[in-house]
Amino acid sequence: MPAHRIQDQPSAIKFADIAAQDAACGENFIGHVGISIENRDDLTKSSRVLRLAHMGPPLQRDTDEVAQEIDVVGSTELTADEQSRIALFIDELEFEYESEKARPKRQYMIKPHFVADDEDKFPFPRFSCGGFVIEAYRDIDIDLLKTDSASLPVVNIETLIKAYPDHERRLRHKKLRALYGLEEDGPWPVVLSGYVCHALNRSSVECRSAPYTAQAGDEYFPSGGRS
Amino acid sequence: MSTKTHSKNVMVTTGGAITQWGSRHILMVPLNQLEPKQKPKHTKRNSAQWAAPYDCRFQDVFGFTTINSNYQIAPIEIDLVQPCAIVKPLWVPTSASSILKFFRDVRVTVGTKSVIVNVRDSENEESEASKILARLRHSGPSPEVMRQAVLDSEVVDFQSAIRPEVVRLLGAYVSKNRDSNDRRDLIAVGSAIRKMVSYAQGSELGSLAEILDSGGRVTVPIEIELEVAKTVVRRLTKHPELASLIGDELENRLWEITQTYVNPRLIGRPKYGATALNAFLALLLLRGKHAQEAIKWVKASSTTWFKDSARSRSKKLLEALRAQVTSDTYETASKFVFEFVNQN
Repeated sequence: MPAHRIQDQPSAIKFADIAAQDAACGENFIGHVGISIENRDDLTKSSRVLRLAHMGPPLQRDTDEVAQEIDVVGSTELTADEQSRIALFIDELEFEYESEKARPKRQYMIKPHFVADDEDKFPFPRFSCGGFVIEAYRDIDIDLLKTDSASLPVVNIETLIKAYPDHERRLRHKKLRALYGLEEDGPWPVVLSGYVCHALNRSSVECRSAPYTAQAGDEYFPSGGRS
Repeated sequence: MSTKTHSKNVMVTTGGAITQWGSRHILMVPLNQLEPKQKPKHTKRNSAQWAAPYDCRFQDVFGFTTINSNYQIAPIEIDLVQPCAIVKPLWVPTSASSILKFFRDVRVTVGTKSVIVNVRDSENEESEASKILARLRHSGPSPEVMRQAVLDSEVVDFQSAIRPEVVRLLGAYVSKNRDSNDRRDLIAVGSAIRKMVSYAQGSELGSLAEILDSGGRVTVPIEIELEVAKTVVRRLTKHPELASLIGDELENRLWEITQTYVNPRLIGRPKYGATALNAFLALLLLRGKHAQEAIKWVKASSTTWFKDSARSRSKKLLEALRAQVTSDTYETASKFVFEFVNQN
């Protein structure tokens, strides 16, 4: 089923489907995205707390006590085998992110959405929240979104601050935002969480056959801001 | 980049003055003044043991030590640019005398409602690496301090000349703590393994077999097996030439893991599939006596999703190897990966 906002009528989501949250700024700007780790068929506007595996940072597997209020759900209708492979992808990374809970957060990357491990400083991969979802799906051979710089809309600092309001001061500081891969003054081609929602706003066959090309305004879901 | 220490006031919401202690500014939080802004999300600790000034992100607070029923001391580093985000613990008082000295030096009494904040710019990498190395060398610190040194060492770039020593020190830490029942130790062991393997050369990689040897305990924790298998795959993908320098023992241990976990009764359990997959891929990259058997073993598995994962990852390994090495080396390094991909 294509991605949609949670309404008063119940929506369903399965393990390894994708769920997203609105940013604090509202206006349908998508601020965060993750992978569902439960099966539900009762998500409504008044009951929309869901357990996710998501790049907080750090990578977090929600529990009954700590879960997320979600606003959008999307699915590529995964098979049981594909769900097991997504579980493997999460399992593989989870323990290395435990270390990140006990030291300064350095495992988050905004641009690019994913950086492989290196042998000098970061012997682990780094992701953005959208990057974590995209790479989990690529691991099961479903490419949701074109992520090369030429295919991504460029976004300015104000848009990034909407996406990462907790990091505003860092993002405004040239040297510190470089730690997230944001060199110079931008604008930058960055994967935003809303793009993942738009990638999923297609039929399962389309999602599996070709990656989506994000358009300017896709940081909102639906596109274009206020609904 | 030079190291600077600033005595700049930062946002203090629990009242009191910023007090300097030696060259540092220390955050000291009277326990009874603290109300967490939110419940800790990432810890099972009793929330009464945790506290933070408003605006601090709760999960970023570490290293609190209860001094008595009234006080906790939280020596922490505050990011100068984002002063309300607690970044890193600096110092934890470990003895009664150090606690008394702390109180004397900062002239804090029970009635003081003080928040003392360390503020400094980020240090240059070299200086930070030296400090972490010094902490790793010091055999006496408390488990907590040592754990933190190991965790910190993972995200620091040590100069080439001292990397062998870093590998040795982290190896010693792993040997000493891999059987710990304290999960915090195991998390640090995971950090140590990742850093060790990323710096290790052939024979040092071979010594990972000792980590996978169950020794006196019933089993090695699955998280440790996973970290070893995964990091060997990462290392050999970048440096396939190291395969010939790694002894048989590591290969034997990885083969045991593959045989045991590629089993329908186990493979679907959390982390078993990931561990089996990485042990299998490591065997293909090691190109030793068990590579062929491992291919047969996985091919014979009735678990479709695991075989799909193994095939997909193997294809990606081929791409990574092709991008990484010369065509001659590629042919040798990818021999078994190629064979597995083409047999499926």
